[in-house]
Amino acid sequence: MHQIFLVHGMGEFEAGWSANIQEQVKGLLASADYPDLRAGGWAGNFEFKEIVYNDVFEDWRKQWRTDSAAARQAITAAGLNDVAASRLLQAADVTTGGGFWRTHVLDVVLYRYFMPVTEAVCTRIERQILAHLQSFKPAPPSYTIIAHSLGSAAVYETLHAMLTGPGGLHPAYRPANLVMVANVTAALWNRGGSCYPSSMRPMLPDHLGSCYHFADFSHQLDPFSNFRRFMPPATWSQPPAMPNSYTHVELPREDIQHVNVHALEHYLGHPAVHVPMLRLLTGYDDIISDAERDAAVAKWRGARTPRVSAVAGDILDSIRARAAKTFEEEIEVLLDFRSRVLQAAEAGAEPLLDGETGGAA
Amino acid sequence: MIRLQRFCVGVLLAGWVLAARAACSFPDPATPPADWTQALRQLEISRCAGGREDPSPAVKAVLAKIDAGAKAPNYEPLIDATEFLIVFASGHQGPGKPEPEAWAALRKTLDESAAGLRAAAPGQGQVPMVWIDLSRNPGQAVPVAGTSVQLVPRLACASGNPCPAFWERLDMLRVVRLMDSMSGLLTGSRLDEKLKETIQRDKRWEAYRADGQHQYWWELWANGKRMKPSDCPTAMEDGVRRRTGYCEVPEDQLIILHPDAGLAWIRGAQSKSDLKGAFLLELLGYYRWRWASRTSADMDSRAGVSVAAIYADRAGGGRWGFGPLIHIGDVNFGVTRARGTWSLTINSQLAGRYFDAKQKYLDKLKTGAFGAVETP
Repeated sequence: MHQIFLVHGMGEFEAGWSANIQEQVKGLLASADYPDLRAGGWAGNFEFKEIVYNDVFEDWRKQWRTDSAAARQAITAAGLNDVAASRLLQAADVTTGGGFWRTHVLDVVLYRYFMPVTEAVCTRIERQILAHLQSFKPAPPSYTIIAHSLGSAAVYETLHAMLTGPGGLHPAYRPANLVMVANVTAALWNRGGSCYPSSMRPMLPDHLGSCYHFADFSHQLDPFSNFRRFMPPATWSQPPAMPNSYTHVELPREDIQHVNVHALEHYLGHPAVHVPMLRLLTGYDDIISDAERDAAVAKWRGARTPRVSAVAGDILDSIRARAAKTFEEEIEVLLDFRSRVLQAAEAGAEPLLDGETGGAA
Repeated sequence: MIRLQRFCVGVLLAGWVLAARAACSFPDPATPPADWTQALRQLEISRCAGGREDPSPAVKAVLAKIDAGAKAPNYEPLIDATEFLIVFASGHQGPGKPEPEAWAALRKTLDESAAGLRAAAPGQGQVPMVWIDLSRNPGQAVPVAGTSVQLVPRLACASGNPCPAFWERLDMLRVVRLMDSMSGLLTGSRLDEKLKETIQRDKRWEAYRADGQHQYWWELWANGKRMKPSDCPTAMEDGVRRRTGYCEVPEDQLIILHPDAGLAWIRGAQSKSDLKGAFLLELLGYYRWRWASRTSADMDSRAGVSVAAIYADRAGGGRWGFGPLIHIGDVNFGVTRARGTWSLTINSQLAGRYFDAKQKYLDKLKTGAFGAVETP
């Protein structure tokens, strides 16, 4: 069976986080919109393996919380009344507790700027992928990685580290498909030079490259992937790369069913995203015809609630207009985006998506 | 009773075998399926073709040879398996046979595979990567030996009618999947090694966080900055120097403005609770360790020293003292001087160990345990 690794984005994700995503993908594989898929019973040919790396961030946060609490107790016990010491502990507490900044944005900051965290996250992802592949010995399975948001950057760097350098993984164990949703790799790449090294191109001759097929999905109004967009050079789609080995789809601004356009569920629900993905998963481009895809897109657009779409579009346009240039500005934009998503959920207009909880905000 | 148990086990096993067979649905030539293309694609994605559930005698024969190859000290069983497939592929070539170009390309690649295995030194055997390319891209045209092969195309066979192309493609798929399995056997040890190395690195990073001197975020950031030049391999790629592979997990760290809790030593204290709480601030220090062995994630010889400022409420009121703080393993102690008086501050672990040891000594004295020791 084809294996599908699901990699989460930023936020508080624990084991079992992908249950609804798995159901969504299984539902798509059995959708009445795609008769060949449904008739062939394709849904039974895939197994899911979820990847969790949030525990790396959480372990550090927990340790900082415990250590700063102990130091604070010591200040009290010693009867110290010192401004500098208190400020130091306030600085330590910046990383602890709940809130979107601490549980979401901080993950990104830690991943981008704290080398031990970056390395530990990539190692943790690699360990889960390799251990799963090893369980199929001697015949390694064909597999796809679907990564979302921060997970896209983490998986991209993991593959670069895994395939390059001394002791690099044998190319026979590369993924068949790398599916990046709301890709933030360009903003977070931390391995030197541009984030488009030759080794990461798909389907190169002589068995180089990171995978056979690379798909990148973004939305014109997604404030995460629009910050520094993933735009590989034209060479990614030109010989010697094989034709159709790189797919890029950018959803237009009108295609909104939810304020949280960044949510993995929102992306996967759109036929312009899931049809290329299903074609890659099955390995057959003709498993869904273009006519079936176009009909599904029309149906999806028909299911939009005009009021929600209009309100969401206005909100997202206002966020987009701020066009962040620096990381500091981008963090402001993301905090604004988050509060808008929560407001929409609190108003009862929309459910929260993407493993987000009101309590975390 | 035993017979009943055996019967139940037998029924369960038979059920399992039937279920496994049902999962792999090979068409019966006498009753053609409604959709030949779907049937072939299902056998492909389920990995039934060329797998353990494939009823083909040729597949079973080759799998037996591959299994023997897993235990053999040389590549003879795998060469044997490849030669078997060469004969199998030759049977599909010849006048009037369909797909002559595709079979010729596969046959040529099989020849290369056998030659490569014959020439390979022990532990170095590989088969051409094109088998993986074909196996992972059954619906795509893949270059093979100068031609282009689409392993599983859409078949132009009418529903319910015989479809010779199906059986031809099924046999191609079997050859590819068997060679894919052989590749897995030949490269499996490299996957094992890579996973072992990854697990060790994962454990070392965990030890770095939990067992090293705890770091606050600013220390972690600074220690991360220190890693780059010395610990992380780089190489030129596309004319730019980039990191390759992974960084080594460090074996040392700086201690920078690290606040912590300590216990101020009180002369005459009988237990840990008699000691007074102290606030300890390590201004700048250095901590190092060694990994217990090349393959271990256990820290050995952990030690460090820092310049510390310690605030404790002593006789005459609270005051700051300054001096060295020594780390040995997971204990630390600082000797500081304030207003001309030296004082000792220890951490909770050291206090616990000291008073536990003291209590045990006293208990032994009380029970006369020392008296039982015979002297020569």
